[in-house]
Amino acid sequence: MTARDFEELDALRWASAVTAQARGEALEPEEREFKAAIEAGNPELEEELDFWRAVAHEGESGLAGEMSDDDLAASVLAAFADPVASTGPLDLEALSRAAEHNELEPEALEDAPAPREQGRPAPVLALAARRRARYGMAAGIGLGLAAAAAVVIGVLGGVPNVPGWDPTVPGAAPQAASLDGELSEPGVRRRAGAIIPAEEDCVPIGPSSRACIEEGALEVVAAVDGGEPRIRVDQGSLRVVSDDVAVDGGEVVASVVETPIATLHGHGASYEASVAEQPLLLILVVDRGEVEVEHKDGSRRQVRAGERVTIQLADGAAEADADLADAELAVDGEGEPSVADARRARAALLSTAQAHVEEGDRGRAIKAYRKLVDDHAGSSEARLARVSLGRLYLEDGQGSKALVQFRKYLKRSGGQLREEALYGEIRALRSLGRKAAEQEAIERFLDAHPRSIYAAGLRRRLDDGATGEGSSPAPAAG
Amino acid sequence: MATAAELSVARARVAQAAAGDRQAQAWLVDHLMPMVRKVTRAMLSSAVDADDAAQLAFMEILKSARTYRGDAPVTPWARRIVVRCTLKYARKERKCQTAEPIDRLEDRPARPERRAWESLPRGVADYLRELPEPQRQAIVLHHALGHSLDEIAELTGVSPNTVKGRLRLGTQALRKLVRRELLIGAPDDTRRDAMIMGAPGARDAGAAKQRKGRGR
Repeated sequence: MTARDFEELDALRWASAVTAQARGEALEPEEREFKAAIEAGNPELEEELDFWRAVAHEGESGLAGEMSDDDLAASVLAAFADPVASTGPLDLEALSRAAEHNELEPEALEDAPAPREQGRPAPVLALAARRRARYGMAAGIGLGLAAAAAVVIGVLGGVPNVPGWDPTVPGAAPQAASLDGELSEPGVRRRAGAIIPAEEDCVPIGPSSRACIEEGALEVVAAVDGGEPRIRVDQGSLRVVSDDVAVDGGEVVASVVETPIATLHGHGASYEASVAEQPLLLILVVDRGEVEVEHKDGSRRQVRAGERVTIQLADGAAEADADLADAELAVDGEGEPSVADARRARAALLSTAQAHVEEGDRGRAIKAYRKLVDDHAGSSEARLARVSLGRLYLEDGQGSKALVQFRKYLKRSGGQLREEALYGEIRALRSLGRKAAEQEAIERFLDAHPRSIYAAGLRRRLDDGATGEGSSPAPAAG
Repeated sequence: MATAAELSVARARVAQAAAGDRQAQAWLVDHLMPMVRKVTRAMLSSAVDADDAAQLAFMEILKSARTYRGDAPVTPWARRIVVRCTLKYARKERKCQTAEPIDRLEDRPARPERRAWESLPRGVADYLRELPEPQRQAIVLHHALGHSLDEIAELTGVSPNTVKGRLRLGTQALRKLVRRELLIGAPDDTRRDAMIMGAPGARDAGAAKQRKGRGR
C-alpha cells in the first residue's frame, strides 16, 4: 500500500481503530488484523498513537475554572426540584427569559407549585463570576434556569420578611443602585431574587444594597435563605454598595455577605471584601457606613468607614470547620500588601519564569520558579510551579531536587497536575536509580490513573522489573 | 451489556425521577455526570460553556425522563440528549429546545485546560480547535465519544457521506498538523499559552523531537 493510499483510504479506519481501543472497546478480528497490518507497513504511525489515544480521552480531564461535579449537580437539582412539585415541570426557559427581562409578574406564577417547605435548604443561584469586565457578573443560561427557580421561591415564600419590602407587590421593591450610588435604571423596580441580566454589573442583595463581583472571583453564590437575601464569595473580590435607605421607621436593612472566614453584615455600608485562598484571609475596606464582622466562633466586631482590617486564619485552618474558630483579627493597618498586590506579584513571577523557559535559559527559569515557590508558599500558583520546577530540575540532571518538588506538590490531595506530578516522581526516581521506589511509584500511579496515556508504557516498565533498557515509559525530559 | 435486572433497576429509578422523586433525580444526575462532563468538555472546550451546556443537558434529561422506556441502558439514551443539547449550544442557540437565542454569553472567554501528553507539543483541544467546526464536531463525536457515522449523521442532520467526508478531511488535517509539530515543534504562542495553563509538557516539542531521533 502506498503512502497516498494510506492517507486517502485508511487513515480514518486506522485512527478509528486506535481510538476505539483507547476507549476500551474490543475490535472485531478483521479490524484488529487491519490495524496490525497497517502499523507493520507504516512504522512512523507509532508517533501518532499518543495523539489518537489522547483524542479518545478528550473531555475526561477537568477544565480550568469549571464547576465541581457537586456544585453542578446541586445547581441542576435545585433548579429542577422546586418548580416541579405536584403540578409537573414548569417552563423553566420561559421563566428564565421572563426573569431576564424582569417581566415575571406574580400572576404568571399562579400555576406554580406550592411554596417551598419550611426548613428546606434554599436553592442556590450559582452565579458564575467569570465575566471579563471588572465587577462583571455572568449569569449563564443554565444558571439562569437555576435562578428562575429561585425567582419562584423568592416570590412565593422567600423574602417578604424584610420590613417594608414586599416583593410580591409590583413597585414595592427598592430601586437598584449602581456602583456610584446613583440609580442605574430610574423608574425600574426589582423584586427579591430577580435575575440580573448579563449586561448589568451587580446583583441586589437587599432592598438597598448591591454586590458587584470582581472579574476572577470564584465560588460566588447568591441565595434567598429564610427570607434574607445573601451572597457568598469564596475567593476573589466583591464590592457592596448600599444606599442609605431607611425602609422601615428609619431602620436600615442589613446586607449579608458570607465568606469562608467571617460573615459581614452591612448597615447602609459600602465596602470591599477580598478573599484570598492561599493563605486564607479576608481583607475588608469600609468606605461608608458600618460593617459588623461575625466570626465563625460567634464573636463580632464593628468596622467603620475609613477602616481596613485583615482577618486571617491560622495555617491550614481552612481545611476544617472546627478550625475556623481560630480566625483572628490579624492586622489593622496601612501599607500592608493587598490580595491584589500579591496576586500580581505571583503572576509576574510566573510570567518571568515562563519567559526564561521559552528563551531556553533554564537556570534563570529555575530561579524565578524558586522565588515564586519560596515567597508565595501556599498559593495555588506556587503549587503549580512545583511541577514545572521539578521538570526543569529533571532536565538539568538534578533528580533529587526534582523529586522534592514533585513530592511537595503531591503532599496535598487533589490538584490539576497530579497525574503529571506522579509521573514526574517516577522519572525522578528512575534518574536516581531508586528502582524499588520507582516500582512502588509506578504501582501507585497505575492505581490512580489506570487509563492514563502513560499507563501502557509504565506497565511495560513494571513487567520488565523497572530495569529493562529500552522499555522506559519515556526518558527524562531533555 | 446491561442485564435485564440492571435495566429494570434503571427503568424504575428513571421513572421515579420523572415522577419527582428527588433522590432518584440525584441518582440520575450522579450516574450520568461522567458522561455529561465528557461530552460537554470535549465538544465545547471552554469551561464556562461546558458548565452551562451540562446544566442545560441535565435539565433536559430530567424533563425527558418520562420518555425513557428502559429497553436500553440509560446512559446511551441520555447521551443522545446531551449531544443534541451540546450541538445546539455550540450553534449559539444556548438552549435545548424551545427558547429563543440568547447571545449574552458570547463574550465569555474560552480558557481550556490543556492536557499535555508526553510526546505531544500541544494539548488535544488545541489541535481540534484548528479544524473547521463541522469537522471538529465529527471528529469528537466519532473518535472521542464513539458514535458511528450513521449516528453522527442523525445527530447533526447531514448525510452519512457528508459525515464520512468530514471525518476523512479532519483526520487528514490532524495527522498533518501533529506530524509537522512532532518534527518542528508547536508555534511559540501556543507553547507559551499552554505553559501559562500549567502544562509543563507543552514545551517538550524539542524533547519529543530528540526522542524521535534517538528511536531511529
